[in-house]
Amino acid sequence: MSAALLLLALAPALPPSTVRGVNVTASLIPEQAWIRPGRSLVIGLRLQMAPEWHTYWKNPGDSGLPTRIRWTLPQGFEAGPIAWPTPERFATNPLASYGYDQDVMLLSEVRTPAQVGSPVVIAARVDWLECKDVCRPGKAELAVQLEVTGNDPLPDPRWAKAFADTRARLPRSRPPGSLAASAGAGGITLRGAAPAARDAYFFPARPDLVEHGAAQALTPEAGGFRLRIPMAANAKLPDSLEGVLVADGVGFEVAVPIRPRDSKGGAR
Amino acid sequence: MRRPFLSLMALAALALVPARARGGVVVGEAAPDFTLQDSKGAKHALSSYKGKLVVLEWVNYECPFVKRHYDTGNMQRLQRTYTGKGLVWLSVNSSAPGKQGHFAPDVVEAMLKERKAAASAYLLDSDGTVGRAYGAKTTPHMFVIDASGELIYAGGIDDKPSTDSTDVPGPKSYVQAALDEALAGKTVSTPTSTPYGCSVKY
Repeated sequence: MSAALLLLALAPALPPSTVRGVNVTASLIPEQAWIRPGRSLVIGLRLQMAPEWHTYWKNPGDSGLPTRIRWTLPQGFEAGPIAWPTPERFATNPLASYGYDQDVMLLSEVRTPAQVGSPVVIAARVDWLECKDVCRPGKAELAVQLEVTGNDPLPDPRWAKAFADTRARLPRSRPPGSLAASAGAGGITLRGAAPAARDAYFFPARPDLVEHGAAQALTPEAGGFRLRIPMAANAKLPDSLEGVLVADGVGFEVAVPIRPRDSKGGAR
Repeated sequence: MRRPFLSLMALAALALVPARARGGVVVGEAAPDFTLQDSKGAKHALSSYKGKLVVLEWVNYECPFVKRHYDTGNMQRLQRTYTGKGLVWLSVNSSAPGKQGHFAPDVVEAMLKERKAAASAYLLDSDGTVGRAYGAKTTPHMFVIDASGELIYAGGIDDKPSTDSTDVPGPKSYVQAALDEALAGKTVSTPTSTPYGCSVKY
């Protein structure tokens, strides 16, 4: 046996970049075709769901679990948090959950150190919950291998469209006009100073604040709109309202202080 | 003369009610009464258990989150321990007919035997009335009612939202803590938490 073959036999088998499940296929996809030391790269976790099945957002809503990525990276590498695309709402009266059906990619930025040996193996243990009416835990061990060069990393053309589509689904960092939140009887009112949206829904970042299954009433106002967000039983009012506002199909990051209810107890 | 005064009082009281949702019970308030039939055909009224601590456990044996607690024996252990201390433990199934997790009583009986479940009773809430009244969202979703009929805990069974049975050692069991505190005559230190699990199949 040649030395090369022996090494190959001794090396632990690299996990695949794609694992096909019955309901969900999971793939690890690097945006760039190679690594340049010191430059960060973006890795997508693509989840392709069978019809009727879905996986979950960072706040899964009334049920479910957020998808979780545990990275195994070379020394000096560091993965950032998941950039979650704007979720969808799956309502089964009186409950609702938040997540993704069909096809979604969860992006993570990975920072690389100045000195990197080639090739680089980026591996991840991924756990998710897949549900339609029933739920099943899903998991996959995934890995990709990338060469290291001194050239500027170029996007892998095979995935350029998938990454562009995913970025288009990320909530925008600036809301449409100014936003203000205030506490009222039984809920929070989010006011937007932007042209009245035809439809709007607020996805809370935390799971214990909003009654996920309840409708949120949208009312046009002079110079904007008002969205009534019913609070969950036993919810405590936080100092700020954080999450994603979807107005006419476009998601916006929301992080605004909540003005407390006035002492007379009136809704404002 | 008394009536207008009373309704004014009622209005004032309404204005003081804290923010709350349309569905669901609020910790510190009276737990809604109900009467449900169990898997053996016996009727159980919550009000008939006044004077005892009562646990309501929303259950669906096919849900992986519930499986984690039954496959490891964690749920049965809690049921055995606390019914042994005189508490009433009621498992409640709110799956609607035709939905996942809805079973005929004899099937439920076989499932209970297979799991060596040790609840006081397994209640059938097929029309979901009780589940909706309590705002039961997940399986499991746990509620603890004190001897006076007041809700003293609502939320998850523990702080480990997971289907992985290897995650069982280590979690903080909110229900166990609430029951130990209530049995010792103490105030429940964590009266609410976020429930986790599969959705209740109303």
